[in-house]
Amino acid sequence: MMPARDVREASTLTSSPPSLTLIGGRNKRGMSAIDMSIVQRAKRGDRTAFAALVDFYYARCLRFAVHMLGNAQDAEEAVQDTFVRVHGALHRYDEFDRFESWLFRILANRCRTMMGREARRSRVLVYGDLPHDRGTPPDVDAIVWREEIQSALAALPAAQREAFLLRHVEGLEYEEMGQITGAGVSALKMRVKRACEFLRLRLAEVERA
Amino acid sequence: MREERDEMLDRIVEELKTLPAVPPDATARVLARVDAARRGEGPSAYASQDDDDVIFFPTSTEEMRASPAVGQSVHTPASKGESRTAGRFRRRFVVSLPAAIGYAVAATLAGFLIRGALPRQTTTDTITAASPSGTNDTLGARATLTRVAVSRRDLQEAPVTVQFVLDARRAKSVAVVGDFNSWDGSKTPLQRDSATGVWSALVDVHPGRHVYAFLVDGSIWTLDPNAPRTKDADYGTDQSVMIVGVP
Repeated sequence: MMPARDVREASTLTSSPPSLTLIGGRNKRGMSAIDMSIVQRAKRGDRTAFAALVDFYYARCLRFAVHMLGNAQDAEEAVQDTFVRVHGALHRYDEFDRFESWLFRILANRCRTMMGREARRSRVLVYGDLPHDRGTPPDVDAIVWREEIQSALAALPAAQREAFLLRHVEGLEYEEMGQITGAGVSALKMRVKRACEFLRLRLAEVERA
Repeated sequence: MREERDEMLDRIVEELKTLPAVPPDATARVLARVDAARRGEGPSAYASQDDDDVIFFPTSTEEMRASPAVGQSVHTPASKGESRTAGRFRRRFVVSLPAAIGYAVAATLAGFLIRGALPRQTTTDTITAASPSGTNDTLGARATLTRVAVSRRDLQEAPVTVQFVLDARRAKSVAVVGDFNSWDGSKTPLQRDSATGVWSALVDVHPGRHVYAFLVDGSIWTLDPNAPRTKDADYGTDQSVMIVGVP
């Protein structure tokens, strides 16, 4: 299994000179956020800066897509599509919007499109080798727990799953989530609340069993 | 609404926050696809939606007034330079569901009237989109035009033959998927007309409201540019709507 890149750490691109060092910050909920100068450079057509953007956000985007789609291959396709579309639309990006919200709006759209397509072909969920192995020996209990979480997550209605992931896993504010999903704040809070209740109930049952 | 966090939820979130393995060539593949898209290659030629808009964002009344009439030509872009124009068009085309149903019902009834005045045939085009005048089609999928033709056999119960047409000239395969074929991409392939490059299929559909989409090259979800759109209740996906027969 491949080692994971932790995007929260500073990373250096050496693929094309000049190399670019990313200095990320953290938002109010402690999530990593990219230096806006990188976004501005990418918007002006700087290929190295765009590559840095991809490098910085790829793992987070892939995590969201995997949880939304329940399939590593589809998730990879959705993330690749997302970054290609981000590149094509960067000139329309308004810097008054938070880049992360804009990126996740495109990603969420891709996931919704793919969900409709794939869900109708097959309801079988394939999680592949995700999440990654951090080099620790296999822990059967941990694997079972992880699978139960994935199964419970997959059982949620798509809108609740999306809201829960954006809020608790991606650490976004409700206003940002509203921009991404097009739903109102109160509706999103309700979705998150119901998702939490469902997950708690389902996984408490698993623990009791 | 107060957010309650507890130990169970924290454990769930902690697990879900684990970052997945990223393929070492992920960024390189993105850049290669960006280069291909710039050259006008690849499936992005079909994927023309405005990605920074939330899907199904409500359309204003003003935009609805600007929407083209049924039968007006529809031009889906193939090149980057055309994408802005196409984006504006698409937003105009999206109409609210009540208005969309109204358009569809009116068009279908008009089709029945035309059909009744003609000699008996298997199918009759009633809702059409004119082919755009020929420009240099370097990508082969420049124009995504659809004609839906309805013939009446029985107004109440019997299936109605509907013709689905998609102009996707460099597509390798096209299928229509919808609630009438269980969304199965293998059930209703469209046949390509070698002279025109237009794909079409005749499908018997029971009267009523149906939702559908085209599947291009087995994976590209493509909406009918001439049909109203609606949102899938379960998955939030765009899909086209048609009203067949008398509702």
